[in-house]
Amino acid sequence: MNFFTLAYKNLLRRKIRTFFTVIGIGLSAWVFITLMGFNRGYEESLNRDIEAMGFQLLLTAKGCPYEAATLMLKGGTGLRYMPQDTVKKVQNAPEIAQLTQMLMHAEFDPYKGEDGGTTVFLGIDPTTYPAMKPYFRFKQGGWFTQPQANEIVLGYEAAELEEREAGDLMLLPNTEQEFKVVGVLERTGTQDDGMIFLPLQTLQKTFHKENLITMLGIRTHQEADTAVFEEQLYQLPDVQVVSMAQVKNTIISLVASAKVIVLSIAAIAFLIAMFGVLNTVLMSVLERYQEIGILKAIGALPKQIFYLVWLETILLCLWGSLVGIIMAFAFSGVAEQLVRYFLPFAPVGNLIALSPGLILQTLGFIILTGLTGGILPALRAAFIRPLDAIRSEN
Amino acid sequence: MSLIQANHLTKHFTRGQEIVRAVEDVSLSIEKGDSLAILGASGSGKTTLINLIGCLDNPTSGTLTINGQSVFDGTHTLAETALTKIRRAHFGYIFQKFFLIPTLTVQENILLPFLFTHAVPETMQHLHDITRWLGLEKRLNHLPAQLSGGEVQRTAIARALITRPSILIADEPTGNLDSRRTEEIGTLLARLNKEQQITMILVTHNPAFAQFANRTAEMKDGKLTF
Repeated sequence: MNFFTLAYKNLLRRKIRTFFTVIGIGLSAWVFITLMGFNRGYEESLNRDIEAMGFQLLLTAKGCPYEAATLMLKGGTGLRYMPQDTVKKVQNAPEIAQLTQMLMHAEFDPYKGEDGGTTVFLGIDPTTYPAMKPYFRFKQGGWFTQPQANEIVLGYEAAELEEREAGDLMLLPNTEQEFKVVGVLERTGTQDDGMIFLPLQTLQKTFHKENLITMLGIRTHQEADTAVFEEQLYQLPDVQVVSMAQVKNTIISLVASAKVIVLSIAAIAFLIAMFGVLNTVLMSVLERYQEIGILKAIGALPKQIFYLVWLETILLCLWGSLVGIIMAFAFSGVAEQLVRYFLPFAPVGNLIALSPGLILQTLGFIILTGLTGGILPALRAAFIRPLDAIRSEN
Repeated sequence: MSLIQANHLTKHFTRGQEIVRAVEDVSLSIEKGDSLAILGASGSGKTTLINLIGCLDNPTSGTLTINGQSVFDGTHTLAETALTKIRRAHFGYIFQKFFLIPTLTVQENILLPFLFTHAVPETMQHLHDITRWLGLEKRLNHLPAQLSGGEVQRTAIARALITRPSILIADEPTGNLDSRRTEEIGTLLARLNKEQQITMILVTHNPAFAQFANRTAEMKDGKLTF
C-alpha cells in the first residue's frame, strides 16, 4: 500500500460527498475551459474570416464604419454606392498589388419563404476577383464565360438553399430574366458560402446600377506602408477606408466587455471550486480527527499527514478536472450556440477552440486552486496531537 | 540497566482556572520482558502517565530514559516530530477504541505503520507469523466491519506488533469488549509477553484483567504505588 491508495480509499468513504465535490470542481473546470476556449477561438475565427476576405483595405461610400465592417463580413442592407470611376483614381497607386471592384445588391423576393425575403447578390469583376480568393474550389462548373454573361456562381450553402446545380436556370426576383448557374463552390467556412455571385456588369445592368459599385477591395504590396496609403485614400471625396486591422479592432472592442465578464465568471468558478474543496477536505479531516491522531501515534510525521491530505485534494481536483474536460468536449456545441446567440457579431469558424494546451492549463489551474484550498485542512491535520485525538470523545 | 527508567515524572495542566495535577512525582523502573498493569479509577492519572512513558506527551518535569537513551531530561520539551521518531523506534500501542481504518483490509491495517516508516518488512513471513499467532490468518482480506469485536482488537494488536516494538503500551485494551473477549485478549497479551519477551504496560480499571501482568501498581490522585 502507498499514500496514493490510502488517499483514494479515504475519499471513497463518503462517496456522495466526494461525488458532489467532484461535480462542483468539474463544473468550474468546464466553465473555465469553455470561456478560455472562447477567448482564443473567437479571435482565431475572426482572423480566419478576415484573412479569407483576400484584401487588407476596403473602400466604401462614406457612412457608418460599423456598417461597413458588417458589410464586409456578413453582407449588409442599407447599402451605399460610390461611382465606378473611383477605381481609376486609385488603381495606379504603387502600393496596390491587386484591386477588385464589387457591387452588392439586395433585392426583395416575394416568393422567398412564406412571407418573402431579401436575397443578396454580389457582382464581381471576373478578371480580378478570383485572384483575391485563391482558396476557392469549385464543386461543380467554374467561373463566368463572359464579363457580361447572364450567369451565376453559387456559394456552397446558397446552392443548397436555392436547390440548384451547375447547368440549372435561376430566375432573379423582379426581373423576369433567367440566369444559368455555371458553377457551385466548395464549402469555405466563410460568409462566401451563402453568396450568389454575378458578373459585375451583368448585375449593374440587371438592377440599373450602371457605373456604381459598393466596395473596392485592395491588397497592398507587402513592403507598402498601409497607414500612409490609408491617409492618401482618405483624400478621395465621399469615400471611407476600412482596414482589416480596424475591423478586427472594432469587433474585438465590441466583445471586450463580454470578455471581462467571462473572465470574471471563470475566476468566480475557481473560487467556488477552491472553497468546495476546502470545505470537503476540512470536513473529512475533522471527521477523522481521532484516526489521524492514531496514525501519528503509530509513526506518521506531521509532514506525512500533510502530504496525505494534500494528496486527497489533488485526487479530488484531478477527478473534477477530468469531468470538466469531458463536459467541455461534450457540450462545446451547445456553448457555441449560446455564445452566438448573445454576441453582436460571431465569426463563422469554431468559436470555442479546445486545445491540448488549454486542457493542460486547466488541469494546472484546478490543481493549483485545489492545493491552495487544501492548505488549511492539511495543516489542521498535520498539527493534530495524537494525545488530543485519543482523549477526544468524538 | 532498566529498559524504562522514569524519575520524578510530573504532569500538570490547567483546566479553566484550575491546575490539574494529573501525574505527581512518579518514579518507576521497568526491565526488559517485564509486564506491569497500572490500575486506577477513572481520572486517577493512569492514562496520562502511560502517555508520558509512551512519548505521546511531554512531562512538566522529571526525566525518562528508554533503553539507556535519555528522552526527557527535565530541561527541554520535545517537538511532535521528535516524539514520533522515538515512538517509531520503541513503542507499539493498543487503544481502547481500535481505530482501524474502515476502508482498509485487515492486512492493510496491520501493515499501515510501514507506510510512514518507509521500512519494508523483511519478509511477509513476520506478518503471517503474527496473524497466525493471533488467529487472523483467514481474515486478512476482510474489512474491519466484517470482523467480530475480538478480531478487531486482535487486528489492532497485530498492527502494534508488526514493527517489532520493544515495548507494548495498552490503554484499556478490553474496555469495549465483553468478559469472554477480555479473557481472550488478556491471555494473548500474557503469551506475547512470555513467548516474545515484549515489555508490556497495561492500563486498566479492571482488576481481573490486571492479573495477566507480572506486576501491578495503583494510580490514585496522580501518585503511583506498587
